[in-house]
Amino acid sequence: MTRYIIRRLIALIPTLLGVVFVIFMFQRLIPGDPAVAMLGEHAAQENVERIREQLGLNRPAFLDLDALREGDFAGFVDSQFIRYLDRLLHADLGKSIHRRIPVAETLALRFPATIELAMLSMFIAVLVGVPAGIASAARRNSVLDSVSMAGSLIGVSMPIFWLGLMMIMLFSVTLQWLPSGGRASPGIEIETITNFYIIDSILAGNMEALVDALKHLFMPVVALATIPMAIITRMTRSSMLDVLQEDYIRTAHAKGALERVVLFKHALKNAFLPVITIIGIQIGTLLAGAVLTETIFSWPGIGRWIYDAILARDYPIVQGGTMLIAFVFIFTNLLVDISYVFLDPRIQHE
Amino acid sequence: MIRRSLYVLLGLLIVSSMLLGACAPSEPAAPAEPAEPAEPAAPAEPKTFIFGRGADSIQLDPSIVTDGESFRVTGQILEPLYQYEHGTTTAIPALATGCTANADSTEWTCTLREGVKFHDGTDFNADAVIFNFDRWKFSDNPYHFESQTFEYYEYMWFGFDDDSVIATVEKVDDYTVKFMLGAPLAPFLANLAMDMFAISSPAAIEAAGEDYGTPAGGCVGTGPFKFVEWIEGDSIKVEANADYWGGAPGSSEIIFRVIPDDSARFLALKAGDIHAFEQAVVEDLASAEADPDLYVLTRPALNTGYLAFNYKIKEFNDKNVRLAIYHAINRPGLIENFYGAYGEAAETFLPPLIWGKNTSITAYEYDPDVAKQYLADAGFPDGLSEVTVAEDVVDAEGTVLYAAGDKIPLTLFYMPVTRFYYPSPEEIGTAMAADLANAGIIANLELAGDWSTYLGLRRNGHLMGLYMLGWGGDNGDPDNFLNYFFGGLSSADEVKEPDAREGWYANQEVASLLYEAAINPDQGERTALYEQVEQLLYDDVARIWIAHNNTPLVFSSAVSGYITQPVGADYFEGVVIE
Repeated sequence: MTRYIIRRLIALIPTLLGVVFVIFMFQRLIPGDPAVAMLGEHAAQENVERIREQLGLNRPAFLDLDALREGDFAGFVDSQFIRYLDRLLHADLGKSIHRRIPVAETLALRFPATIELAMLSMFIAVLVGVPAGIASAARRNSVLDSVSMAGSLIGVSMPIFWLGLMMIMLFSVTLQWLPSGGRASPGIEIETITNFYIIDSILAGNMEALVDALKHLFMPVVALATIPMAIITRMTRSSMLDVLQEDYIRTAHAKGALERVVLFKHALKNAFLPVITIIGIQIGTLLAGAVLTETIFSWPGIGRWIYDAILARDYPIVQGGTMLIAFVFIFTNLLVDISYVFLDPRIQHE
Repeated sequence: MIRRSLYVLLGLLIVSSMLLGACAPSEPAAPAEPAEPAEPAAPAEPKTFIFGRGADSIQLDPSIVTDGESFRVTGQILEPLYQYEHGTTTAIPALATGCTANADSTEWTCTLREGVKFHDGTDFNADAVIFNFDRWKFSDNPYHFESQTFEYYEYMWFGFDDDSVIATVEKVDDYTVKFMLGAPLAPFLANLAMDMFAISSPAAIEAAGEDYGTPAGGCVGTGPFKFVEWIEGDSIKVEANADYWGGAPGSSEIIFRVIPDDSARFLALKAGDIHAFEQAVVEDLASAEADPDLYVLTRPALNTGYLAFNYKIKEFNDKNVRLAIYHAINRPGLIENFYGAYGEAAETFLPPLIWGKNTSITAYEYDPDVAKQYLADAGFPDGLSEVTVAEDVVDAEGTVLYAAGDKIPLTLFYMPVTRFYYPSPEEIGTAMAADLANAGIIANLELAGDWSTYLGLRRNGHLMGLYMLGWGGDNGDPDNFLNYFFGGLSSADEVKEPDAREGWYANQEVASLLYEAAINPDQGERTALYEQVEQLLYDDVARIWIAHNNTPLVFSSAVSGYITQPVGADYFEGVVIE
């Protein structure tokens, strides 16, 4: 197992390099120029050229073949991509083109916000989705099953922006129970240690800040959890239904095992493999796809940040942000693979 | 089974009713006259004013940014030597107490306000002014960082180093500076008043280096508010400067909150989470105007949306075709349908707020029959759907993109993003194409790419057809509108070449007059010159001026004392929260 994990971790390196290359390449393929995006309507040719030179955008994207023909090897490799890789090897993600702020600094601030939101959403999705799926499968064709399936259908098809606005209208405008957006209320001081506000307020023993953070999290978490919750419910149900038709389940029933024992000890453990896989994939989706939730609830995470950076052709942000998401996604799926062994000892990674 | 079906039916009914409720159009309230804010009260204790905005600031060093959200914040913290009079575009003294020019306006002597301190406790004086101007001007200045682009300095003062029209800034005494200009520059004071030329504390720049203006470095000026904190993507907090030379501000602090979604911003205001915001959608404005707890103020328009011709198209060189297109566009209809009560049809390029506008001009009226007649006069009695490339259009590498003589479909390029002068560009473009079709001019509506791509194509003169764009004024001077688009000469005898950025348009007479106006310090004489320029552009049907758009801002009724500025950042120091 240890060798397997080490092997998978080493395999992360070429995967991430591939991700870096693909992201870099696709960004350059999209038409548009960061210098023009920066200057807007004022763009004059000479200003654009000057800014392109300052940003190194006047160099070829990958390799300078003209320099090679002239025997200039240093010039041949002096490309945007090689410069980027060089910085990356020195743990430097670069600076935002527009804001001149180190990408790593902003990531340290924004990524915890997205992780906090995504993980809580996944927690809620699993907490509700798995029991609902089990109950649906155990009481197939019952009213509970119909309600659960109708609920999950609505959950899957519910537009997040609509749900978000409806929740703000209800909980913030009408009832005035919850703040309409943001991470903390004005006047609430949270000493940032990890940038996870829940953790930071607990570490500081600041109950007021903890309650405030939870209040701010409630609506975005529910909005973001809706789709994965629905998917997990449906996946758990169908997987459980498959397993419940297996012979060993019939045997367990025949032996007089309690329904509870059959469901949770015999069926669920076997039915959980595809559910775990879906959870792993959904975590990646939540990280990358939180942009709508972050927009509606003014959540300062990385989804909206990367989206804006794509529009503004802010290459370092797009590269740094997507690489981090790719890393978390790959790492999560590694954890999912490892979890298979514990759920089903027959699976041997060796 | 029946019971189960009933449950499902009931569930579906609830969901459908929710969906229908959400989709139902709001009552279209007639946009009312902007309500006047209540008289400023005198609260016992100043409170926090929270302003909602769609995007975060780029940086808080105004000399290196161009976005309004940065200036909205820096305008409260930093001050220029001159500022715009509240609610107008007139430049009045701020950190300077006055500036006087010599006879040919090449030397400007400015006296500075004494006893003013930066928020870090250092003195504001002639040295501080010179430090800032030297930093902006000299590309080898240690604080003119390689990674920073001082775009507005280059743009407004014609370049860096020896190219700059500001030859030197000399210290006469501790509170007097003299600007020596390389050439007369009529809009000198209007330029000085721009947000980007606000004076920062030299000590703060020296201490923060390249971090000056970032969330880590903040900014330090002399303004009514002091920088406190910037949580990137979330909020910026500033606090009252009790020692402000103009008197303590009405709020204890201001929080600029980022709320990217337009509807969510309105709901945040309704929920009481913010006190004011800009960029409301039309439906929310109607709702705000009907709500007794809210009121709407408008920022007077200093912008113009237009439809430009690419003159590398042969047919557009025929004035009759241009007239046909002008008469075909239903501008009053566009205003009514897309701008509502906040828009006004543009008669000329200059907005009504700017002096120098030729008010005797009324734009060519909407009349499809007249349009068809002009089209017939131009030799297209059966309409126009295909046009001819007049000259080769090449890219940077010399590749011919459009060859002379090529027949291409007539295209109307619409903007991919909403700008204040075009609130719904795709819909407006669609309506314009429909108007043109009504007059027998069939134009394909085309999205040329995202904003950066669109601007790049425009800059290179590659939008081969009609294209939508606009302009928001920088300093309230007509030079900033007209000379940028149709002038740009650096001497009286320079020949005006067709400008790719302006659809290859060139008008020597217009350009020469604009040069003359740019160096003439007499506003009366300049006014006459700009009026003449507007008449020439009108006679030549150089471009189709569509609309000026006043920007609405929505406020909680608890707010008073807010002043909307047609140019520059709004003034927040008078804001009082009940």
